[in-house]
Amino acid sequence: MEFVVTSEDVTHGFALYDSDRRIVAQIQAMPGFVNRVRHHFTEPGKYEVLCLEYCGLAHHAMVAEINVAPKDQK
Amino acid sequence: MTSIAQVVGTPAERTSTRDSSALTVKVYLLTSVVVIVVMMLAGLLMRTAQAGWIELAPDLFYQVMTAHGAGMVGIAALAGAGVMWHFLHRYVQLSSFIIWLNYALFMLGVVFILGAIFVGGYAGGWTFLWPLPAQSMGQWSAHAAAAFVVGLILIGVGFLAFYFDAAIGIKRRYGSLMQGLGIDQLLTGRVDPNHPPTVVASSMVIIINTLGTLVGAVVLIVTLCNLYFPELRISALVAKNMIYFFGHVFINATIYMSVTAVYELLPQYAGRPWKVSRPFLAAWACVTLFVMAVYPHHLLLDTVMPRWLLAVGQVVSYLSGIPVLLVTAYGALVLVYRSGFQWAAASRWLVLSMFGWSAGVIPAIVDGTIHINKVMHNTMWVPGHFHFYLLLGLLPMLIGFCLHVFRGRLDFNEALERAVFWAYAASSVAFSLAFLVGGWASVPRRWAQHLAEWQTYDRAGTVAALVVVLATAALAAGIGRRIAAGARQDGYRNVA
Repeated sequence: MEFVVTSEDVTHGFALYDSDRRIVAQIQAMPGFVNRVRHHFTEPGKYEVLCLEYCGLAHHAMVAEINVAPKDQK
Repeated sequence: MTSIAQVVGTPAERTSTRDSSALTVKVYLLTSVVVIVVMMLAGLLMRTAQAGWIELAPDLFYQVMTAHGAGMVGIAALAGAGVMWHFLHRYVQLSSFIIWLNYALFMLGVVFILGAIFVGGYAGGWTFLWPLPAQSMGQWSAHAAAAFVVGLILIGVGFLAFYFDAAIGIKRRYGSLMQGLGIDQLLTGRVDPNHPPTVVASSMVIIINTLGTLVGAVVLIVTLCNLYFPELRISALVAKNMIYFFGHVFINATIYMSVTAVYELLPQYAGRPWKVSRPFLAAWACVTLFVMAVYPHHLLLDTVMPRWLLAVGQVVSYLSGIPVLLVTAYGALVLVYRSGFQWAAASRWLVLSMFGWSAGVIPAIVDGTIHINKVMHNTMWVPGHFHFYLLLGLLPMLIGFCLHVFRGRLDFNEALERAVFWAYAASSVAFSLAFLVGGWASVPRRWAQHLAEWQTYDRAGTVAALVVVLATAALAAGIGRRIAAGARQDGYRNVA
């Protein structure tokens, strides 16, 4: 899976965490630029994306979820 | 070795210069130890909040974080400048007016920065990563961000004045900064073993940090213009390159200014001079280039950067500090070995600084590796790396300097001094390790609120931080008492 990452406001960090809350991939999200990062998912489950570049007072609230399902459950 | 007496004029002028010098060093270092303790308390507050032991509103947390970062970097530079000035003015003529101008501009800058943060609510981090200062989502005004930027510019102008004055002094005495750095001796092979290491280190700092501060000033001015004229923009990538070049060089220069204390004072405890050699000069010449070339290791997660530049960042990370570190740590070992070394209060701290500087390289190299950086970037590993350097490398240099230079009638109780030394050293290692282990476990840095599963590391770090703060406060109080007693009783004579 390739993540194509940019930002509309300030610089953010795009860190992909696995279900054990370990970082498995990371890239910067920068206004005006597109960074790319690839990750090969071998395990289905809940993954989280946390912001890892300080971006203002809501920095610690920037959390998103990604659900990775097995191929046969698409 | 030529003393300052041969450089500066009449006996009356020399007395006046010595009094002024003594006051300068006292004010610089006393200000530094007080601010360091206050900034440590700010750090303790943040760790306690992350540990879940107190409630700290996120906006206040990020304001404290901004003050802590700017405060620690700034005060490390002020203290380093005080140490460098103290030793360099023995070899070259330096202006008292300029060193006080630097202090005045620093203090004025601090007023702007504190006003920006605690009155204006600015919380954009000390790295002011563009365009964050102008994109606060209504949390702080353009004026608050501008006050922060102006504060940094004022501090930078003061340091530039200090470096220009030091450069002029070295040029007058040695011919040029290159000759101060010993490049001519390196090229001809005719090394003068009495060429002062302080002049070598100072020349290097002047070269790198004049460039670093100028680059910082440019990006700060652009940031300032953008706050009021949003159509005046800069590429986020260019700004990032400039900020990290400035930041990396500026913080590294603090150690290279302070290491002059090791070169000047350790020989006094070993009873042997620190001889300059060809490897010593070669190491400093290499590091002058490496310190400026290494900053791309802060941008390893920007794939839009030229790949060759990122490769340079990784390779130079491995090389960056090592030459000077090797010649300094090895030189210190050779100096101490079978010398009948005097293990006194000051010398213990200087030897500790060699350990901290040496061991601090390891986490830096780990994070500078592209493959590892992908999972460690902006985790707690990063503050672990620089707290290790600063707590166990830089600060022991400053403490050793203060305990030596401000020695006098009010010495510490020996048993108490040893207890404080070991408490500080052990708790600083534990504090840094709590960050490093947290980073290894993927705990993000700069988060106001932590998940319960991260708080084991936070709590260990908080307990260690408390001991670090108590030990540093005890040292600061002792140093303050010595300075006050010396000022009343012995004046300049207390200053070596």
